[in-house]
Amino acid sequence: MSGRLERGGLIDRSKPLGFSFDSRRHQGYHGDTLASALLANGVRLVGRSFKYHRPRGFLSAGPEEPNGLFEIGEGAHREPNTRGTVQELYDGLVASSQNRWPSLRFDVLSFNDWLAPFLSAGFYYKTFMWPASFWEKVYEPFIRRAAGLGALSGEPDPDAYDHGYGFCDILVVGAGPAGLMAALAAGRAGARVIVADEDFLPGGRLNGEALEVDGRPGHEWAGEVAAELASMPNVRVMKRTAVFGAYDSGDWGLYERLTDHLGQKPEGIARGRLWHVNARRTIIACGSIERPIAFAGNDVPGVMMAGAVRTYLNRFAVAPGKRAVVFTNNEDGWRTARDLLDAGQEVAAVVDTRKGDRVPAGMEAVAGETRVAFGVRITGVLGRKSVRGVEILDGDGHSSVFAADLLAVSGGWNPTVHLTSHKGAKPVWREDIAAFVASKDRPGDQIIAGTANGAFSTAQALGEGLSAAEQALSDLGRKAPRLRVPKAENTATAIEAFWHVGEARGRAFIDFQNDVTAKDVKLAHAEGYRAVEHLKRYTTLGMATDQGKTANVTGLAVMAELTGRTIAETGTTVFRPPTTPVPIGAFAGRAHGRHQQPTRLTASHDWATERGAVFVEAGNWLRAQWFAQPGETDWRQSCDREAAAVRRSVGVCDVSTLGKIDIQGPDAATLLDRVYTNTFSTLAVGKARYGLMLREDGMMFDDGTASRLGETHFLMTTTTANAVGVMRHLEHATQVIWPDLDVQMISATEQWAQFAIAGPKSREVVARLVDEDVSNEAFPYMGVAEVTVCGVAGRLFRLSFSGELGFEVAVPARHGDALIRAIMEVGAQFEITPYGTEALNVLRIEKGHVTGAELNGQTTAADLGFARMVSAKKDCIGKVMAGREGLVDEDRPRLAGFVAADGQARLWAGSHFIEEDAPADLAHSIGHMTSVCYSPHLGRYIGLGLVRGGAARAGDTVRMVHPLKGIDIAVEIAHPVFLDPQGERLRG
Amino acid sequence: MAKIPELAARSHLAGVSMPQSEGAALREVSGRAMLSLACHAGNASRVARAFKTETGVALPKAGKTAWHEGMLILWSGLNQWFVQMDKANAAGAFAQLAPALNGRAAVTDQSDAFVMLELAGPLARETLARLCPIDLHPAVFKPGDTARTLAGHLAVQLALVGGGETGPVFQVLAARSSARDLVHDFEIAIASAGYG
Repeated sequence: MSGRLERGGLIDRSKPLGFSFDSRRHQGYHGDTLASALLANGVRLVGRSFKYHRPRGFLSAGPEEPNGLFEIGEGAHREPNTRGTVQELYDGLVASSQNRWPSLRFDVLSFNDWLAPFLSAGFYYKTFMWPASFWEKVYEPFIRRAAGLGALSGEPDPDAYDHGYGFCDILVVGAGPAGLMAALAAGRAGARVIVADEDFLPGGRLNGEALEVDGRPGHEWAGEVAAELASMPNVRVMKRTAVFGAYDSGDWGLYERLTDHLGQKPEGIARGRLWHVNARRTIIACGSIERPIAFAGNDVPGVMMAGAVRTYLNRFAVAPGKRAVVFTNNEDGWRTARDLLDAGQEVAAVVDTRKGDRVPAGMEAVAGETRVAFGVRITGVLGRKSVRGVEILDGDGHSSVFAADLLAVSGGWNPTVHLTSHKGAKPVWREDIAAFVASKDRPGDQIIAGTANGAFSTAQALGEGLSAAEQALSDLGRKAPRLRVPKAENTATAIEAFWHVGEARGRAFIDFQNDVTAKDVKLAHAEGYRAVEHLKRYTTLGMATDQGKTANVTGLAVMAELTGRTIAETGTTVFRPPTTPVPIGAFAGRAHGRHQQPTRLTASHDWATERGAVFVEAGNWLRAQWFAQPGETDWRQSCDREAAAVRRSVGVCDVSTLGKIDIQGPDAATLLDRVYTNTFSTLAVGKARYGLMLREDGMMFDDGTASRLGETHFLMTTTTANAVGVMRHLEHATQVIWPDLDVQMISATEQWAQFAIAGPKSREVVARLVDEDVSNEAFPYMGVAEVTVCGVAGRLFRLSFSGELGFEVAVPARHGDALIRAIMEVGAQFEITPYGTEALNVLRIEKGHVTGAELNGQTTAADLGFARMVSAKKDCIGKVMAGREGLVDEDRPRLAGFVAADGQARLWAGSHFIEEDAPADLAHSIGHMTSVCYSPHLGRYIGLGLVRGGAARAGDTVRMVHPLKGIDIAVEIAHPVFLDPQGERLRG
Repeated sequence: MAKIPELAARSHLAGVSMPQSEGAALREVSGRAMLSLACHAGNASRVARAFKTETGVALPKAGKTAWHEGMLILWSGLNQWFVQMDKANAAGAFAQLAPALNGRAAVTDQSDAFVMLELAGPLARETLARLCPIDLHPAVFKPGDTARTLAGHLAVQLALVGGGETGPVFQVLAARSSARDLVHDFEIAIASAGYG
């Protein structure tokens, strides 16, 4: 392990871990990230860039990493674009590099790099303009193959994702010095606290620095505080948890990684958990991100952020190079030189862009051991797959070259302000620290602390953490505990902003992940793009998976230079959640596949399954569509048999899915009169009536029956699909339109299992089930009664949807399974046949009953032949609007029946009707076919449809045209009721 | 005519195995009846008095439950309650209540509209926190509290009906037809509750 130091680091050397990268075996330790382990093994080239396929190494040591992206895992579990700086090492980890072919070292498409002069900003927009037909077939596939990141496995995501809801007084975002201090104070005050940190080791920068807190190593202090927090019942410490979004009313989105760090994934445990946390106050202490400087060759593997170099040294005991040059515009870079020297590494030079030859306080020893240059910049990097040397230019115009394999860069630090601006507050520029900080216009529940607030020293961060907690506790009316701010370093960064080496020859990268250079920004400016939002979209700066965490501020600073505006005037682009990649599966949580929506099952479901039912979704319900019998190979065979059985003898169908609403109260009848077009207040107790409901705009909304169970007690039924909508409609009517009505409603859909028993023999079956007299005299058509069904209190309705003598028997749902079996038992002598929704559809078309196909939201009551059901004597919802000119037009298509003129041809729903002599185009359409079926009773296809003139044209011939199927045949208009128009069967 | 035997009762969850771990266990409560009681306009105080007189227990306030001699009453909305009792006593109890409530409140049998589940164990709150978007912290959701909320994508009514050394006991009322989906959700939530 060439890069691993002899001692130190927050790794467990007693736990070595084997892993592979591009099929080569390596070893690391527990506590390593994939990045630190690869660097420890001397692996510096880890990926190819997005557009130019440039060789890349790690730039950072944290979640902001733009370069070091990997595919982790194998098969369906393969996860692309995983940041090596976040991925914890585990035994057996399999990592692959991305965007290269055939291999990382010899990547064919790296010729793109030599084409770079042609691949500048806007290249695709300018080049692939025409022919337009080439875009989808030629250009896009080519570009997609050439430019890209990792590849998905192409298989369904095999992992499960979990959701969680959290509530707290104080949410602390980040467990660095500020966050830990804040959480400690809030926790000791007894507040409910959630501390979330993206890292697996609390401590933030304290883990990466050789700094002391209260005279001890900073990471020890952090470890102790984290342990105390974990022991508090009122505090939840969430490791590996990113707070990715700020939402309304103190709501936050969090993503907790549960198993990505484990080689052996525990059985039944979700990969990650999406948290919805509501916090009364939130302390944002999520730190800051060090920013690169744009200079030629700043992306060669071996160029690394100075703070990242310290993290690798101190936290992981890894030296990312053997001989370093430090390039800085602030005091912070010097710390890297010092830590490198302390770790026994060689430092060739510290190159400081600031003038004045002032060695920072405490860095005298560094100046004694290495070359120091002020007012100097780096103009080039030697090497392609790895840094070999650094070319510098001093103030007098002299160039020189240092041999080095590591270039540590510090362009200053950007406070991580994203969360503070998710709700619209734009960050504000602070000239003194050359950085954006959170706006004071941010939501009042957000308190910022530490380097996230531009307080860059450890002492400041600890102090701000404590005062943030004090403020939050005071806001919540709690007393803050007495706590002392621990002693720590307190040096100012003394930054002199320096963004871009203007003298650079060659490309100076700003956005490493999307391959955006300073030249691209210049080109965008030259082509007239002034607004940062335009700059972003034209150059794609900040639009990669890292969302430009290391790039955005530098990009707009270069833009500001070019436009002659200040950075404050230039402003930032809009930050949106998520701040860090979150698997889409986590948002779906459990709601995917079969569980994407709840499934509702009837009480007879298990019985129907035993009978070989094929189910269809209706709303969220599963309804039996048909019951395939042995030997039946086609649904039509089953459907025809079932429909014929109902006409011949008797059939049974589960109708529990229809909506049932229990309506009670002195004004129940009044409510029904107002929501139905027809009158219900005149309905006798013990009777049911068919009713129509309109929408407010006058269109048909729903239909069903309502039964009067008592003077002030009704049971309304709705269609299956509209049950929820009708309930909502009634709630709106009683809560908003007529709050004075004294009506109580509750859904009874789930309470009852209800079966339609229909056919000439249905009475004989029902008579064997219920105690009461069900003769026509005692229980006539549209009768309703409370009855005893095989010893159980139930309800009986004399209703018919099929046009046959029919009953509906209802019992409490727990008895539904027993009832269907009892019905089958007593019906056996009549060859009772269970029928599904397909046969139901045939029966209702034969009888001319409308369903959702006709109640399609565009039809009025008159269109469907129900004009006489709209009572003239009273008002109802939708009645006035139904009288609009266009809705009473005599020429509107109206309901009619249809049969093929030749008596045999198949009919197709969705076909248009065209007059015999008219051209077959949409302009001449006079209606369309809504429902068709093969009628086993009539031995031919029949249809229902809407045609100009409606059933009044019965006997006329029109054409049924279906251009998609090439069908154009003559059909005869008929009365929509094909069977028993006098209704003798159902009244029998 | 020959009658067939009395219809047997069968739970919608018959044959469905109930998830459990050391942290939390789900079980179905059977043999209970439940009525919905909703006051007619202007009758709330009369209903409250009549109910107290007939049963000896006051109707609970918003968000609360009351427990009395095997009868559990859950507030279920403005001037609405769910009244639960053993199925065996239900007819008698209702017959006693009916005259007092007649014309004052709508009474609807909801015994079969819901499945009645109990979630118990030291990690019961943590389990529910996987599914329900409400604050179930002991200081916030206390014994005797009830709430109508969601569990995953299903509407439920929760009540904290018991507790002790073995952890809290929640009653979960959910629509019967989708109860198997709810059990599936609990399966994942219980497995995941102690983790992370």
